[in-house]
Amino acid sequence: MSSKIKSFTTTVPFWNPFVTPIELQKASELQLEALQTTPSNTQVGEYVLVLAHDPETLKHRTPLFNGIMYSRGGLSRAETELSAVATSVTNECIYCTAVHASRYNDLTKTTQDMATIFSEPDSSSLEERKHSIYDFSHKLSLSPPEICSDDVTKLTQQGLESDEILDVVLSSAIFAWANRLMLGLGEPLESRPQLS
Amino acid sequence: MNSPFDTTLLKLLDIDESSPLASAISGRTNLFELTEASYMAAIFPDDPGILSHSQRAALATRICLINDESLLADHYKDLVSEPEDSVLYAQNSTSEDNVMATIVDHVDTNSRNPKHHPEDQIQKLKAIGLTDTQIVSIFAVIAFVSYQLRVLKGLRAMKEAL
Repeated sequence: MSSKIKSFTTTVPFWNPFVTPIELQKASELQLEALQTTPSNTQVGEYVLVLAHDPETLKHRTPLFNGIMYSRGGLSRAETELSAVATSVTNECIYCTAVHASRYNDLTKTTQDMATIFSEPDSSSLEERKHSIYDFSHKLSLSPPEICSDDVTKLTQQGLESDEILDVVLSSAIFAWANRLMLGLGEPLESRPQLS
Repeated sequence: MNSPFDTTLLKLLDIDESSPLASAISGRTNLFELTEASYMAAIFPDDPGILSHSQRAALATRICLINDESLLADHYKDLVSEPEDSVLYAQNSTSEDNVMATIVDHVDTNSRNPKHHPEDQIQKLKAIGLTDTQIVSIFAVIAFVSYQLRVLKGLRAMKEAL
C-alpha cells in the first residue's frame, strides 16, 4: 500500500483521486475537446481526467493556467514558480508545492530557496526581492486575503514593474484555484497504488 | 471580445485604457479573455447540472463574503435570479434542503480551508447521493471564484498603489 505524503518535498508524488476519473475511451466530444491541451503540456493523467467531468470549465482553465505559467515577458519563469510555491505552501498543498518547487530548482539551479521556504514559516531568509514576491503571494492566498496597496509598494521597491506585479497576482490566484482542486479531489501518495 | 477592458473584473474595478495599469493588462489580454470565459463556464454553463445558474451565483456570493470581497459579492448577488436562493449566501442560515445544506457546508470549508479533511468532505457529498460529475462541478465553482476574487483584490491593490 502506498503511503500518503504529509510534508513538503521536491519529489513529485502520485496524485490519487477520491473520485473516479472519466474513461478516455468513453469521453464525449466536449470532454475530448477540453482534453486537447493539458496543464504544462504533460500527459493526460488522473487529474485532468477528473476535471474532465466538468468539460466546460476545463476547456478554458487549462489554457489559462498554461498562459499564466508560461507566457513570455513580464515576471521571470522562476519567480512565477516562486509565487505558485508560496500559495501552495500557504494552502498546504503538498502535490502542487512539489511540482512547482522542483521546477523552481531546475530553473534556478539551486535548492537553497526551497529549503528555506520548507523550513521557515515566514521565509524571511530569502533574498529581499524573492521574499517580497513570496510574502505578497502568501497574503493573497489567505482566506480572507490580506493584501493592500502597501504590499504592491513593497514589490515596486524591489524593482518589480507593473507587468511583473500583475503576473505575481495571476500566478498566486491560479494556485488558489489549483490547490482547491488538488487538495479537495485527491491526495498525494508516494507512488501509484497497486491494483488489488 | 475586443478588449480586456470589457471583461467583468476590469469593468467592476473601473479600470480602462487610461489606467496606469493599462499597458500591463494589455500585455495579458488573452489571460483576461480566458478568465472571462472561465467565469461564464463556471457560473452560466450550457449544462448547469446539479446547480442552477442562480444557485451558482448565490454560492459565488457566499465565497466572496467569506473572503471580505463585497464588490464582487454584490455583483453575484445581482445575478441570483431566484429569491429562495438567497438563503445560500445568508450568514448563519442554512438551507432546509439537506442536499443544499451539505453543499453549502462544503463551499465554506473548501473556500476557507481547502486542506481541512478533504476525504471526509468528499464522503459527505457522496453520502447525499451526488455523482462524481456533480461533485467536480461544485469544486469547479468554488475554485474558480477563489481565483477570480484574488485577481480582483490584486488588481485593486495595484490600482491604489500605482
